[in-house]
Amino acid sequence: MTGESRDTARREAGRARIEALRRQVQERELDVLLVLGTGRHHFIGANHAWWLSGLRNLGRDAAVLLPSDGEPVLVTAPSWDEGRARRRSWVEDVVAVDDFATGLADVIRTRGWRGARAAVAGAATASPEVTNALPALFDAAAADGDDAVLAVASTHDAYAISCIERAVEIAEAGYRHLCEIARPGMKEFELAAECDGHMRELGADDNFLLISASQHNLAVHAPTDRELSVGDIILGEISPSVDGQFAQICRSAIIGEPDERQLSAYEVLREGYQAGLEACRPGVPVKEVARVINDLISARGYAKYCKPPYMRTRGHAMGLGTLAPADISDRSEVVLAPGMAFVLHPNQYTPEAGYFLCGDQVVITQDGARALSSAVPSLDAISGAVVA
Amino acid sequence: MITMHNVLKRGRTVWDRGVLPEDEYVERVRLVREAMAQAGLDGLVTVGHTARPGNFTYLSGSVPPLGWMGIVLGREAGPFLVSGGGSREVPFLRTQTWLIDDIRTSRSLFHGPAAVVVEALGEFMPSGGRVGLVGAREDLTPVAHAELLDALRDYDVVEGDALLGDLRAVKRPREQAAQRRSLEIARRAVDAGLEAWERGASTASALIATEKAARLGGCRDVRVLGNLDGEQLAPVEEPGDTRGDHLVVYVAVEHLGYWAQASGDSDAGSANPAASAARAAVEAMTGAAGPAVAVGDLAAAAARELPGGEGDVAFSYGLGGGIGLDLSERPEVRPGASATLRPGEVLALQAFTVADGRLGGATETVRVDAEGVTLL
Repeated sequence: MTGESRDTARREAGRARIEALRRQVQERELDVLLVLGTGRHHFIGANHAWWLSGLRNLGRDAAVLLPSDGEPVLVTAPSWDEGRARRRSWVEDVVAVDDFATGLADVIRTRGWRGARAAVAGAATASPEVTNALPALFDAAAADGDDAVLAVASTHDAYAISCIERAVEIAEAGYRHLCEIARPGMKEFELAAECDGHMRELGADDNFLLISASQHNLAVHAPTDRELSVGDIILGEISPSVDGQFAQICRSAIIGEPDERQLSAYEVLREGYQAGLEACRPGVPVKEVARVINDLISARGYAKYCKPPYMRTRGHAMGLGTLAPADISDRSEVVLAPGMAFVLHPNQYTPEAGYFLCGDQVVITQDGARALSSAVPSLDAISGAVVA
Repeated sequence: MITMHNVLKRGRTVWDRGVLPEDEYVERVRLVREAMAQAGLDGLVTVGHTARPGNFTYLSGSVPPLGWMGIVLGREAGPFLVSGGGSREVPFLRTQTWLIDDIRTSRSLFHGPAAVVVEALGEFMPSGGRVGLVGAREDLTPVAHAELLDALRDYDVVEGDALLGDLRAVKRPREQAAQRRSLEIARRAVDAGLEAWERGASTASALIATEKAARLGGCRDVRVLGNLDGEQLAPVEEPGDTRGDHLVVYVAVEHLGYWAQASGDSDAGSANPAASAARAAVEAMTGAAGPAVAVGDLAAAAARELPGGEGDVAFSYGLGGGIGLDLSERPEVRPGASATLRPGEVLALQAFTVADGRLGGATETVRVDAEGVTLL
């Protein structure tokens, strides 16, 4: 997709989101829906003002006011960011202010919405200043509008899926770069900086990137001063975002040649991943997917290690619009549905070989599940050759 | 400066004991306990968020990678570290803090610390004791904050932000050493960006080069803004071939918990009236700064040099203020502000303005001394 066609696609998707949410506003007999977003951007947190406007806000708060009839208004801060806001957003009516809470109240008053039947979505992420201002924004108490937004945003639209697909391409390129440049003597943080810069050049607008290494890892963590050496297993939790939509791949690579215990332990996780992927399809409870993975790994003798502190979860969704299905966990009550996207990762520790990462981004389709990477996760030798 | 918040502080993450040894934190705890005694507090609960970690980092040495973390401190008990992450993260967390003996994990990154905090307080404080809350209102979600207040209903809860804020405002010698390192990284990153631009890079590529240089220089977090699509600052959100006829770059880095900022302008030394005005405004603020000076006087000094006076866009960007464990600390330089400067405070001063349709900017970092200020 060219830059121009991507821009056209994102604006069309944005308008479709607005119209779909407007129908929810009308069905609820509201006059206006206030959708709040936060500048404390979060990997595992939705930002529905961004999702609805196309603007990743700089300031602590942002808002979209969507009337039942008429054009929406984007309120953002600071005022000097107005030019970028107008370029990035598909909402044409942009108000950029420095004092957000006051500016939002002014917009509501001057547009004649003070007496409106209103609902508020995203209040849980607002700043204390906006939280304190909310009760006085409208003459009557505003209803909770989160369910109206979730009715539209709970599955990814085609544009969001295209962003996830591009993010996976960037993540794979980032991992290839890691395998090309990692060498003994290099520090973890230098390797992470090189990979991060490479993915930024390819179009990642942010990255939940963890790269660390050890001869016997306990978990993946932020990069340190540790110098890489022969025999190290490099862990890469690589999660670039495109237009705010994150995707994640989980990879493990060894400097040198893996031994039998490492190959054997990794193979257990890869079998778990494949079994989990085959279990994913519409109508299947998330906890069933987790059970399939846990049962397979437990049957190989690792039941003790299928819980914290040896692992956290078998996967999870990521922002921007929807966090469904949340964690891939045996405690989940979510049922998989078309349009859901998440990373499926049986990442965990084994006493023989330490902690490995093994996972891929998955999208639920009408027929089953589609893994987005071009190749199945494997334990790679740092030369780049696939050895398992 | 308002910058784009990254979802993960994904750069070099270490506790450098050479710069910030354990005794530095022991001394900070002693000072906090003295202040608690003067304020009549039996306990202090401090919360920091990854987007504003300073209160937490001051006592722990660590920066929360995601969400919040907390510290519970008694007049004689603790400090206890409360983590929102699970038990899987504890081994690495132990390498990042001097508080290795008492790390307590809460149930989730997404819920507040109420249960764990109350349990910790209960170990050394009877009900009715006086507890100071630091950072909780700002750094927890409204729901989590309300839950924490409800869980503490048997205690006398008071705001404690000012108590820690006063201690944090005056930078200790080891803090200044860390800040100087951060400033060096920021300045080298600016140079790398300008060099990339001079070699013919697009504006976006030059800004990405700035970011990469900062990460390779050893920062944990970095924020870069530049004149990507016009004469205002913006973050890079996608690569592009566009190259303007000049580059203005702003970079803020966090290294060992401490922030510093720097800026560069390819117009430096040429006849860009905005760059000249920005430099003059920063020099005017530097010249006006000194002990017992009201920060509003600095803003007034800057306004006299800016093309738009007190209505200049530089006031929207902000003229800077305190800098340390948070990028924007007290005092904030703004018109009419009455807070007065104290020796030991470190200020990051800045001006970004537009003249003749062209953006220009300047920054400087100074320490307030007994007689005036010293460039950091």
